Amino acid sequence: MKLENLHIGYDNFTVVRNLNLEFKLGSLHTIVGINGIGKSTLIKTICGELQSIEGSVSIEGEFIENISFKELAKHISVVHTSREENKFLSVYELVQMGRYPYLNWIGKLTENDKQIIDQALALFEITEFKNQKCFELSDGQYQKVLIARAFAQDTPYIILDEPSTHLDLYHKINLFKILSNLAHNYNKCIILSTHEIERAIELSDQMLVLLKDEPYFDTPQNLIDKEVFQRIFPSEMVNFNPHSKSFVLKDIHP
Amino acid sequence: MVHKIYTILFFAFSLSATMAQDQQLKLYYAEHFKVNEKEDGVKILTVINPWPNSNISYEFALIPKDNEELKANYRDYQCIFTPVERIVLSSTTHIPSVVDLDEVESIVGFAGTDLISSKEVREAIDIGQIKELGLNEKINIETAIALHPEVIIGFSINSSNKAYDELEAFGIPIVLNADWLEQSPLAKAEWVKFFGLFFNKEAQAQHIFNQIEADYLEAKKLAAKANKQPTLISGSLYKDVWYAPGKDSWAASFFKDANADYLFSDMGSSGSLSLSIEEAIVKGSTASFWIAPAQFTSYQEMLDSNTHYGVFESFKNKKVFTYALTKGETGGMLYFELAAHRPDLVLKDLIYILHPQLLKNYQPTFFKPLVHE
Amino acid sequence: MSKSQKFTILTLLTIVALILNLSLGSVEIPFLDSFKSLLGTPLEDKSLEYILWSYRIPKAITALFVGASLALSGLLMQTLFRNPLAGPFVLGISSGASLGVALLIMGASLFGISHVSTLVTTLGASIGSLLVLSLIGTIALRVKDSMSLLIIGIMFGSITAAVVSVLSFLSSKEELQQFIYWSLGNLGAVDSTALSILVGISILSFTVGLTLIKPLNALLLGESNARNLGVSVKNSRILIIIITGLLAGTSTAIVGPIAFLGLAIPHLCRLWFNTVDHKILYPASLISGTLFMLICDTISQLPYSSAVLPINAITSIIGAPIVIWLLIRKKKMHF
Repeated sequence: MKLENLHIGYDNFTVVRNLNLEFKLGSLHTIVGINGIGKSTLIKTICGELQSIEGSVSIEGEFIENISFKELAKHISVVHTSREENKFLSVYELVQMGRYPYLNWIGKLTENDKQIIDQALALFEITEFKNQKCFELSDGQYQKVLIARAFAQDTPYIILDEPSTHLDLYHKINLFKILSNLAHNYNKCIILSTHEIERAIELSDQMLVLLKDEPYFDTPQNLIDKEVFQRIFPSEMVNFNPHSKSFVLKDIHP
Repeated sequence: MVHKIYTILFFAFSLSATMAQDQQLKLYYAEHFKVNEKEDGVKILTVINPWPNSNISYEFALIPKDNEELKANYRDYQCIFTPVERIVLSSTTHIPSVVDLDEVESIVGFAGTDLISSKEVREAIDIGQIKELGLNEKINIETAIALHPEVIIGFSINSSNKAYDELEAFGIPIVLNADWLEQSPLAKAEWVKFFGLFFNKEAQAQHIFNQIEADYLEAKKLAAKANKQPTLISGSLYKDVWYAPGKDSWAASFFKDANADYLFSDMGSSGSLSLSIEEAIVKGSTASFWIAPAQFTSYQEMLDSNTHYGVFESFKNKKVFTYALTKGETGGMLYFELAAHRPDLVLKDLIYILHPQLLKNYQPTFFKPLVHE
Repeated sequence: MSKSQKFTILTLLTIVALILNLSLGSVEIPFLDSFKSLLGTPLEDKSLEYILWSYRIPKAITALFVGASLALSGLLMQTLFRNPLAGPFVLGISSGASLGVALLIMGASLFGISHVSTLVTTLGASIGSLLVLSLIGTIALRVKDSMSLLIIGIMFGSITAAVVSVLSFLSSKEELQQFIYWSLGNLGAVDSTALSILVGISILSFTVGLTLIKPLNALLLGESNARNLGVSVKNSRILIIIITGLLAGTSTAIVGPIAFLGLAIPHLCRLWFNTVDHKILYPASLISGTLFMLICDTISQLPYSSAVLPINAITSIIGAPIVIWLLIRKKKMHF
């Protein structure tokens, strides 16, 4: 997926400018930045929900605004933060919806579809829950169901908007491991926005750091060397330690 | 000799005794009002149960205007001074009595003037003598007060009528008319005597009623001569409920007196019946005649309203008769105005329809055949 | 109990309800006679035959299609707006119809027509609901999310209800009575033209609506997710509104507003079948709606007595306690 001279924003208000980068298959990409910098806006733009102000987003050379929603759904699957889903659905019912772009008008599942769904359930270790209602699951399990749905959609690009927000530490780490697995063993291009900058540094192949002045896209190590992470948060309060690759709170008490 | 004296004394005593007592006005049929004439010439009018399920009577003292001081003796009564020269009426059923008593000039206001058919009264309306007061339930208070009526003849279907309460508080006597609650034809007609009281025309009212009664009973005797009892139904559908007069109602009494077999008479008594459409069809489809199908005026109109009317024999044979074709100049139904006062005409109309051989050369007043279309 | 078993039970119950609806009424028609007549044998009592064929059968067919239409449109509205309190009339359809009928009744009396025929009230109701629906439809094209649409629909409902109140205040007894009778709903006074229109539009809508099953399920994940799954949310929204308008509008125009059924039946189906999958809820709502309407109509006829109760009262009196009972048992609603 190529972003060329991309300016994104709402109406006439540009939030981020000059995005020029390529998200590659088989890699895990993370987007980081402070609240309000434009992470969600970017996600919405690259999955086709929001129109760019200038520039383009393309997949395999095709501009996404020229691809119909139906076709696009076979290339990009999205997992949102907002929990709008009806929790009365069973796990199986929710995951199976990932196959919708491929099903006929009434939504009939072929054998192939069923296999893919079962594969998704197994991969995320939720097969035993498949007939349970989603409201009966814990947050961590539910998050897995949502990603399983994206996996069942069998798209080369999987985009996730802050998927770790509701999870405890164990599940946060587990999530990153799953996504890394998907990227490297299933040749998916995973793009996710997150606040877990330290996790992202550990596991991403490439990171997009959104700062007030300009975006930076590179491997985590290069970004550390360029001292990009220092500039994310106000330096009076937080410092980035390049050796431990973590953020440290400055002395609060003078 | 002593024997004779005792007899004379006895008679003298009883004579003076009766003279000293109140005279009660003789009413033969009406059950919702009575009149007691006191020795001082004041008439006590009692209206009994003026609305359904009420348990109340209202008393009024009708005091001659040239003896107004008598009102001091009647502080517990609503006082009305006769003869009344400014009267307000509220229902078209009040009109015919007042017309027959030659008191159209006394009417100063009416609630719903468009409904009135009487030509004489329409003239009075047109020259502005009778003012419009709005609908009975929402009488225009200011207009009513500005008319300075001496009495308002009203009617009420229940105990609350805000407008009346306000007018009474202002000092205008309201007499509720209960003629519409009378169930027999002659009882309703007898209310002409009620109106006669206000104008001090009791004798004339008596005379009018006697004539109506005589004509009615004569027609009834005539009908009894018929050797066949034709079957008939009445009423019509609203959605799928059939509304018809009950066996003991005013309307059904005519059917009985006209010597006909009313097919809904075993379906419950008094007031109004509501039958399901199924029952109406089963019980009534074979009737030879259909009298008063509510507001319809033509066969096509009935079919447009409900296709089920077409299954009735009386409909198929075009033996449907309605009062809705007889209207006054401004659209008021003559039947609603005059029928209560002239049951003799209603009965004769029915006899003319049901037993045509008994009444030749007769012009019906109310019931006309439904228009063929 | 499996889903197919539940469907079988529902269908059987509906057939029984239909038979009862045809057999019970104010007038007693012996069971055997109605059977014979249905199979083609003429009856000796012509009025009984007339009642069965010209009154009860058309009424039963009306109940069948009105029940199914309202239940389905309720389901569509609840899913589109993700709101359990939505019903077929949430877009102002019944208020528009009421307004149309009220205006027509009052207008007619200004011209001296004291009683308005059924054809006229049907027309008034159709025009009224169509106007309100097209207003809302145009707004739907400009409004981004369904929540705003819901609120707009409710606002429309309030405006029209207010106008109707003013008209009622100014009307005479007769006009008011006619209007009230119309608003109490009536399944029995439908003539054959109206009936064929009802059946035609209903069947058409039910069939076309089948294409909505997949989008409706997708909408359960939220509008963004539905879009990302390739479902055209805008087109689906428009089709849902059109079909609801057709179904609820036609029913209301022909039999008057029937309360409660469209709101309650989808919930009952969700609770009994324990699912939100529209592949099941779609047919389940249709059948349950029919069943419920047939039962309510049979009751409102108050068999063996000559009285008849307005259908609207029955649907609410019976329906509400059932929903309350089911919710108490389930303890939580997931929407």
